Amino acid sequence: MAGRNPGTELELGWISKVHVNRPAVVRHAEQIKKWRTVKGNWQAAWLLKAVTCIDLTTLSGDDTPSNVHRLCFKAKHPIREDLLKALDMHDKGITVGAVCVYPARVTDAVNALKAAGCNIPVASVAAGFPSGQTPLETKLAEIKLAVEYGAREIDIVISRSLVLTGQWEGLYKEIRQCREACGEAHMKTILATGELGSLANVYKASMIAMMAGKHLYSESQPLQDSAEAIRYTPVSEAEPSETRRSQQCTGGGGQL
Amino acid sequence: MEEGPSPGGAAPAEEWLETHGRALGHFVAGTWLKPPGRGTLQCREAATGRLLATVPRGEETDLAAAVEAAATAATRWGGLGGPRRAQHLQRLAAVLERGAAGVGAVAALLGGRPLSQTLGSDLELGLRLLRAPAGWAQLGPPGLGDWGPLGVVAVVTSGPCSVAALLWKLGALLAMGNAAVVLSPPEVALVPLLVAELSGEGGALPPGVLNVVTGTPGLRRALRAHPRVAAVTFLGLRQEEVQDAVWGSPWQGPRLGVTRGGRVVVIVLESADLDSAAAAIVGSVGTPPALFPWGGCVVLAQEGVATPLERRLRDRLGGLRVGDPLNPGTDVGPLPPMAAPPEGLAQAAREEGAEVFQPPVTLPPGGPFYPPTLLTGVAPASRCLREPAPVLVLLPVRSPGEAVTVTSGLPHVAAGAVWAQDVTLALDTADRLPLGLVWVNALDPLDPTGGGAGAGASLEALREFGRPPWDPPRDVGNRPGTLLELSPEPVPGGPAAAPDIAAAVEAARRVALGWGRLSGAARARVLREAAAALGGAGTAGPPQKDGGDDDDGGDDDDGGDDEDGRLRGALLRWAAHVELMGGAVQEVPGGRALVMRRPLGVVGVAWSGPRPLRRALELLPPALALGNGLVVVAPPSGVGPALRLRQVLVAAGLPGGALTVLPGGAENHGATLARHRPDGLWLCGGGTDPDWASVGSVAHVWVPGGILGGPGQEPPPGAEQELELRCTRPRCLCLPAGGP
Repeated sequence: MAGRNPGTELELGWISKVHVNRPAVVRHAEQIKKWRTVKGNWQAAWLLKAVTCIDLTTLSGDDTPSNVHRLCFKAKHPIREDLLKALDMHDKGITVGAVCVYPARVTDAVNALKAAGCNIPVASVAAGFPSGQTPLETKLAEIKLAVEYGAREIDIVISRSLVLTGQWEGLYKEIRQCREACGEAHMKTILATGELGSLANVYKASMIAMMAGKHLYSESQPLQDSAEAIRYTPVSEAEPSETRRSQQCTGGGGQL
Repeated sequence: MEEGPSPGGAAPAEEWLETHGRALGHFVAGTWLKPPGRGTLQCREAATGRLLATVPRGEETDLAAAVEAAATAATRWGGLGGPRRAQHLQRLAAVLERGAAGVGAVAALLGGRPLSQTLGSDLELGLRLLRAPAGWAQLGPPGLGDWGPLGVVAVVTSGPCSVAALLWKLGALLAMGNAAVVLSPPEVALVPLLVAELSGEGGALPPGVLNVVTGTPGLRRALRAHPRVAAVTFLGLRQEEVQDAVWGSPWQGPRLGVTRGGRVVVIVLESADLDSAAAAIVGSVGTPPALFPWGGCVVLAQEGVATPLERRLRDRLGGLRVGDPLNPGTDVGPLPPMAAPPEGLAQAAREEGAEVFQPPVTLPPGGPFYPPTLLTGVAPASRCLREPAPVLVLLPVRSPGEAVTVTSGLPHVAAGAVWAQDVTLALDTADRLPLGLVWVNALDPLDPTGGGAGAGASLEALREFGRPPWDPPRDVGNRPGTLLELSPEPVPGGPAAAPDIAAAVEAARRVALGWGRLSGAARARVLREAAAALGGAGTAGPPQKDGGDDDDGGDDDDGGDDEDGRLRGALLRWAAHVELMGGAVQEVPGGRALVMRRPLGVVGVAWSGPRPLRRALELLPPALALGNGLVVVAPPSGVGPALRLRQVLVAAGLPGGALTVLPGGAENHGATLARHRPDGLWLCGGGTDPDWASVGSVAHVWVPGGILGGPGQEPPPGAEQELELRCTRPRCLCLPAGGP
């Protein structure tokens, strides 16, 4: 796994100078979509790479041990055997990056993966996912419990209300505390960009998250309907390059 | 992980060249013309120098044949009427769209622009610029209803000329009913030839309407022998090259249209989105814009953000991919043909102590490739600021005001962009820039009309190629003076005025800015008071030599009363105009554009001469009302009335330097005025007007001609609109919007 991001002290100066021009960003994103394409073998290679970065996810109210079990098998063999053979990649150990479930299902996922005999980490959403509107104590307790149950990655979701009301210090403290509650587990921060209101807020929230020590971040908007297929988050100057690469890989997972 | 190659797009172009056996001819009268015994010129691929095809070395007889064919076709084409012509042009656009792959590939092969541009934005822009005039032709352009075609128009191309630029000119001139003769050197020839061949398909254009002749640049001189060529327009030529290709005079020769290319100036203020600005700037540096082909960009960054911006620019420059233009993934192609590599410039900058940053990209071997370059810390007088070149220059400035001042001092600037999220500051800075096209928070250099062939811009293009009803057709030997009111006899000589002109122009320049910035209402008030003074006062001024006063019956043909009355009327009318005049907001794809008219600046009126235009005094109220400063060199018969007009205006509140009247005697001082570089030059002297070579340096040269109407007549309809356009220059402020 990549190295851990220790985070920094809160530097509000970095936030205050942020300006984002939305039409320019949209135009730039469209240019990239249009003219940077991969074809043929390279396309197949990039698609396989994308698969290895996926967190295969099921986050439904009707999750039970049985469908989590099925998910874990799919995590081990995400692509059909005959397709992989045709690409000559059947012996490269192509699996997804992680399996992501609610905390109550973590134990089932861990057991299923152990039975299948593979080392894919289990990621758990936490911190009041998906709305984030729960007290900080329960958020931290949820994280600690998920880690106890065996999750090696924790996907926290930030409090959008803190972003929308501009309480950057509060956001920093909250993410920092979640990070400490994670202990050894890696922490991903879900920004829920569809609810943050503006690209500038997205930028600032991601800066705060990095300062507070997140390892990877995900921009998925759970249950939000987004008009854009690709959200382009302006890359900040302070972002460590490995985080940038991981950012390109992590995306919303497939629902089973 | 690599991205791998993308399938190249050269195939359609190579196929087309093969069908002609790689030896093309001229395209005249709807067929290929391959006169025997001509030398050949070679068309080479820009990136590798490989021979693509040969074209004939055209001679005067070829040109004569083309002009002949165009003239014959023009009479019929002009008589078709707007809607029929519109249909033809739409058909042409459809054919080009179908053949887009071929056109894009040829343009990329020959010119070195990356395929992603030629096939993408260039072609899109070109088709838009072709369809807009077609639309106007269909509807009948407002105010141009009784304008006629000029006849034969020659389009002289050179250097890096893109499809979009070619279609820009062709669309407008064809829509107005003219026939075109395109002269191109071999470096550019394949694109017009392909367009011409496609235009024959499906009857898109009747034969002879679009002709293409290839040859060396020297062939331009052969155009002089063809008085039937009514207008010449240049694409892709530098100013110096234009000067030795023009002939004739504004009075008697062809109309000249020059695309004044140049660089883009980008002003980045403190509240700007630096990432987006850097992305946009670097995006443009790789590919010079379609219509400003010489490329280059000067970035003026406010000091607080200059360093972060520079860091971002360097990062992004490192990510540009330089390579074969036919690879859709390439960002930067080779240098365009006929362009000098900027190595000398970079070296000179290094010696002056500037920092030259070139990212470590691997250039393809062979071929005129040059890495993208960023120059910082340049001296204010450095060569890289004086000459446009495809490099990026970064200068720190202290404030938006300083940015405006620096921009005003840079030569060869075609358009500007202002980046700031503070909307008031952005709009204010954009407003103060002396440029015709300013983007706010965008840098879309592909479009001179700002995000779309806006209605206003295409109308102006149509005017360039149309003949107003008050301007009779110029046949060989017939001077366009029959409708004009010239002095009955040549006037005796008078004192020369050369040294005063310099001082007058200086004074006018100082004052014109302030006068132009006043609100329309303030200027209107001055004009109205002057009108009242003219009407009320009887013998306000000193006794005149030729008696133009109200009191006497007047020895003049039209009588002093009438002259004063007309002046008064003009002052009042233009006062009303300027109060009511407003700009327009146009919705264009990608946002909206504010199209406004701004004063030209300092206009020199060369009125003196052997046969001066009688009523030229009536040209002064519109020019002043619209915020210009004037330097009038008047004939002896006009000095008196002009001075009197000046007196009432100054008494009413006009700043002193805004109108200067100098006696000019019988000589035409047009050339002298032109030497002092006014923003506009009006030639009302008649007869021996200065030729294009001496006045070509001025951007807006105009021969008013019959616009004021004949003796005792009212001005023709449409005259006021024309005057308004002639006294102002367009200013387009582009505000992108959108994104879901």
